[in-house]
Amino acid sequence: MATKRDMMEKMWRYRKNIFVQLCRFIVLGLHFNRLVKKVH
Amino acid sequence: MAKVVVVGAGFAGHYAALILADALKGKGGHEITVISRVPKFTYIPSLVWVGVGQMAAEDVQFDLKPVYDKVGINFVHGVAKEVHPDEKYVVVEKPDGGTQQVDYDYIIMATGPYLNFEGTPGLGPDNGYTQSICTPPHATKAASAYLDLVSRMEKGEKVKIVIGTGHGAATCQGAAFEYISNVHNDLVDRGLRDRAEILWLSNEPALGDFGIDGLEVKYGGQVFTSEDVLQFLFEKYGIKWQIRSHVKQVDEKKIYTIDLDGNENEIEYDFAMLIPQFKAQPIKWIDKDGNDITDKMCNPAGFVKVDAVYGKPYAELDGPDWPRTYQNPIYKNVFAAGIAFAPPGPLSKPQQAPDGSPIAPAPPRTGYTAELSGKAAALNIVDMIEGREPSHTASMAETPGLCVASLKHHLFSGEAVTIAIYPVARNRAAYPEYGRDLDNCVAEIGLAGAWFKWFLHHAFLYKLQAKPGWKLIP
Repeated sequence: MATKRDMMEKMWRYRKNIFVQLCRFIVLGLHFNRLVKKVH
Repeated sequence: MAKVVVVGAGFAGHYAALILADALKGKGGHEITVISRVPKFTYIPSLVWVGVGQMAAEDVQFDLKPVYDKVGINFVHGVAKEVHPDEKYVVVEKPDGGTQQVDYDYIIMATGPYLNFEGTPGLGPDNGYTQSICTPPHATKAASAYLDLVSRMEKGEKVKIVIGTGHGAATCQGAAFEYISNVHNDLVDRGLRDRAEILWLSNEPALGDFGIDGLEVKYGGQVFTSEDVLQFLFEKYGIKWQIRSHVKQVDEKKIYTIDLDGNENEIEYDFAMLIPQFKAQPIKWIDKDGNDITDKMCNPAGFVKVDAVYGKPYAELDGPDWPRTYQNPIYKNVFAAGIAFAPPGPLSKPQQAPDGSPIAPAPPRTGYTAELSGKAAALNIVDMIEGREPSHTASMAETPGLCVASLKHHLFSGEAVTIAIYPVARNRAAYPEYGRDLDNCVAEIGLAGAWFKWFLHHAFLYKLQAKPGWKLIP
């Protein structure tokens, strides 16, 4: 299993990769939307 | 016809007024009045960019009156000095020095914080030596001081920068974290980073505490803490840190601190941005006999008591103790929202230095959390006007915290930490292991966060100006 440090290094490496970040934008946006719907 | 007064026009107050205007529209000519000491709304999360000279103050503000004229809300520009809850009126001091009495049937106190710079000798941009990004004028002044520093660095000078909290009981560590990260990245872009030593100075008991007792997230079967993430980020950025510290005093050259172990330190600096302690706005509560009942209505810091369970020690405090309806227990027509409501206690463990200095981060209740409490208070007043009991809740132990902490403002090379926690206040009654639902918690660094931050800036400024379709934006 990858160590926490390895996983954070991986996040750091891809933090400005446009393709990866577009995917994360969609995933995180859907997650935010789900949380917001819990209270509205 | 009911008269509803909202004191304050920040996230909680302004949004509550818009919700009230919308919910009571065409239902019997109810009157809504907002009292605000500033005639503009400020989108505070973007002040971090104003503070590094990357955005003008006017880009994070708009005039309140045209918005209120559009939706049928009265606006009183002035400072609320007294509330008379038996006779149901507010005394307002106007900018010209005169006073005005504003009557109400229902009131929402959403005054925001009083920035207690005088709590730390030498702190603050007006009567001290440090900068602040808490208000547009402060952030503009901070940008000017920062750009002066940059000019000195361009001439070859090496400098020391200190950013964080300026008092042991300060809150809003998140804003200071955004500022230190933006300063770091701005200096990198200018090719000057090697000429600055940057120090994170904070009252947090652990790195990444943020006044909310930190957070945990699950990735790949492992649990990461905000301390793990912040330590990793600060190492990448080359930022040193001194935490668990109270600032005792600041002079022109040094910041004097004491930590939880009693270690005293003198930190030299060329530029410092330190967030002050937040206290309540000084408003007196006067009963029908002219007695000052502020100590009955408010906690010792002056925040208005609501339907929380007060008086429990930190170790016993749990989710169900946090307020749900934001209704005052003595006067049922009084509500408080945003920073103005008295929390039942801190989220981070309160401690003190051996000399008695408090090192106890106060719980943040700003931004989205403030908006939710303002909305709940507004809809509960609508309930009461229509003859129902308050039914709308927005407990911090039942609602999510959504935060995008900017690290660098740029649409292609920017980065931010995207954070979601559920709920904000740990609720061990509902989630025994961590007090939070880790399946709903997120913390990750990337360009996607910078896009979110940009999107939220525009979406909130659009929504809060009540532009067409504003109600569709949550």
